[in-house]
Amino acid sequence: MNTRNLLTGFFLALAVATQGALALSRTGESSVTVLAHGPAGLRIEGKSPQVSFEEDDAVFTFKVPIAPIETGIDLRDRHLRELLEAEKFPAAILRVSRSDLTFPSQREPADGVAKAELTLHGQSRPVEVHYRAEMSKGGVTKVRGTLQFDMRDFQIKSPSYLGVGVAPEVEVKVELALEGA
Amino acid sequence: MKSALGIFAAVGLCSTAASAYPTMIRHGYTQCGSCHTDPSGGSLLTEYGRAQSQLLLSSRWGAANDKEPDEASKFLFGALKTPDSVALGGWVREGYIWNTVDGKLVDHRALQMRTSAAAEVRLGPVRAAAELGYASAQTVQLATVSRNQDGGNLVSREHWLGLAFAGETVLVRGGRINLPFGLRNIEHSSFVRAATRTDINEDQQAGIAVAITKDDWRAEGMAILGNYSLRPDALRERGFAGYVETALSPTVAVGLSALATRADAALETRLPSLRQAYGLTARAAPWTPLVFSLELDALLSSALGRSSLKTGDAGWLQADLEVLRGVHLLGAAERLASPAGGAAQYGFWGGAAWFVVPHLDVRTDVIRRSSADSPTTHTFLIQLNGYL
Repeated sequence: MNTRNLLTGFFLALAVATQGALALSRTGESSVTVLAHGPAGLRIEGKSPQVSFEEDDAVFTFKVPIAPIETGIDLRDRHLRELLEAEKFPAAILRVSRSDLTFPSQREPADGVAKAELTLHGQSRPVEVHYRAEMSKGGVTKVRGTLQFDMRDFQIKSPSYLGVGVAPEVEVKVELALEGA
Repeated sequence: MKSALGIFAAVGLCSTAASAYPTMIRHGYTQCGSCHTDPSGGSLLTEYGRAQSQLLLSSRWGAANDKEPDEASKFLFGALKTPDSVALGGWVREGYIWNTVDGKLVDHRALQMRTSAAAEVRLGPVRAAAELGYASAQTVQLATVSRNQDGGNLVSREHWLGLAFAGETVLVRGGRINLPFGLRNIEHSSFVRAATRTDINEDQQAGIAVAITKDDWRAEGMAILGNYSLRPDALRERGFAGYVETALSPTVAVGLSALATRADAALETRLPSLRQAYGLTARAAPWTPLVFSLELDALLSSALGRSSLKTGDAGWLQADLEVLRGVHLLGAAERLASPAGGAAQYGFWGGAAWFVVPHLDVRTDVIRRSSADSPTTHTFLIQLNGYL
């Protein structure tokens, strides 16, 4: 290995180490969207602006409170809270290891698939998170993540209401803005 | 002559609407099939649709917004239990209409607008639906079953047999079916519905239709085999109608429609004719109480065997503002330039609708129509709709 390659490798390692050591905090813009599907094209979309973010040396933790998720129909919101036993299990929690993530730079966004652990309804299961992170000039990093899970894996009964059932596969999209602290 | 035309136009506004509410997009319902037995909307409600009617359409009268729908939302207020596989319904719609031409009252009378019962049966993937009702003399003539020239008739707006598959996202039907074209708005006398002959009051035709309903788009195509309430056969149109609509978001949807039919003897001219319509539709709820609905149609008509192609257009823009739960203020502007000729007509609608309780709604409309070559007409219409 020549000197040039050694230097390149050193700076690359330094850059990755620096990015990995960044402390991040959430800024104002964030949202979580939960998408479920029913028969005859029925689409149920729940949204909440509340996504909290914590980090330690090894793990990023995203927490979404269940109660604020709104589907546009009050009764359906109540059914959602009852289904997920929101009083007993008030939040969905996603934990992702730093080591599974690629970090963006000013020049280049990062995307990939990370293994994560989702805790929902008192059950924790591994999931895959597809993510994309873009760093803006102001130092704010916009992160978009999507994941899918099967309600049955979390001991959630597939809901059915007046003859209209909902498929157990659910999609979740999370968008949030982070800035270095 | 102008007065006669005006009277004819005004009398034609006798609204006899079924129930279809494209404005439910305000609640994120871009699709129709979970609430209606017809995948493109209108007609009979499913049990789920009845519940949404109480939860989202009707005044709440102090009930909490997350209160479960009660027996009152069900068929006959829950007095008659039906199996899950059977949906029953019925309509009694009565009204009173006043028509003026150039400010003079020329007609006022009670209207028997809709008296009918409907049922749908689901046995596994098989669907069967039919509606049977009564129409007073000279009304709903394109949907009659009986042939009483001078009195009332039995009518059947729709009756079909279908097969659902692919997780109920595909429904293939054969029978008398609402034509899949444009907005399925209840204002059947609006220019866009009348000019394209695609209302849900009487313009259904026999045919085979395939409806596909996905969560972010829907489409229906229909091979039109003719309206068998019409005789002789030469009057019957054959051709195709269809639409595709995509949801850009849960509260915004845009669509395209097309219709092309030929008849050996067109209803108006009795000449072999080809008529076509191509439409653009949009529905948007920028704010939950407010929904805009738009339809723009290009109209083409040609007499077969001659080289003449006549063109026209029709447009409809409606705003629906729900000022209180169940209480709607309605306004619309419309235009028609008929391929048959004549000056362009303009219409303005204003009114209010109140969904008082799950089985009862009232509506008032004031409709002003004018053109350069006919007198200005005003129609005042009040209607009371009971749904069993």
